[in-house]
Amino acid sequence: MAVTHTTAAQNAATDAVTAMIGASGNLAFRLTGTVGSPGTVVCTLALSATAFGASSSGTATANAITTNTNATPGSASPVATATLQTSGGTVVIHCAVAASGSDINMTNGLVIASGDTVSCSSLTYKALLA
Amino acid sequence: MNNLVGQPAELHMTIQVTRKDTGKVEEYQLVGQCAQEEAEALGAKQAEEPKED
Repeated sequence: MAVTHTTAAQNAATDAVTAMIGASGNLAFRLTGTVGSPGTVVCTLALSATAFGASSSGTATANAITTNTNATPGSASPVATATLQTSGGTVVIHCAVAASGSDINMTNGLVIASGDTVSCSSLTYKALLA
Repeated sequence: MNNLVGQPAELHMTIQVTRKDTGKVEEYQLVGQCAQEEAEALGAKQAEEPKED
């Protein structure tokens, strides 16, 4: 039997998680890892002082994210995971990353090279899908 | 206790990578989900932990 949450419950869950990021957290792209043992960071982007706006329809949208104009990945391996973490580096959200669609060939994955500029123009989070 | 795992949370993001060497801008639309193996491992760990009645 499927479990369905009200929109109010979805908003509460999403807001509770995004609040844990606190002030001036970061979005980090990483190599393979787990929430308990995150992979090596290949690129970090700074979130706004208030990372996310209030959840609507269960989804929270991130406020402006600072572009990293000089990535220093230290690895030629493709990005496998992403984390949203506090300013002190404590991981709050850990997820595997895959392409849902892109305008280039993703056969070899997303590889960030040294000196590349990386920006994030849109980021949303939903804690409960239904 | 059953071994069913609920739906994971989702992250959606659009990122742009400007290559230092060529200046080419690549755009990626990414979807992140809580890793299934982590959810299953967490479920297995919880199943192994004794519960007090």
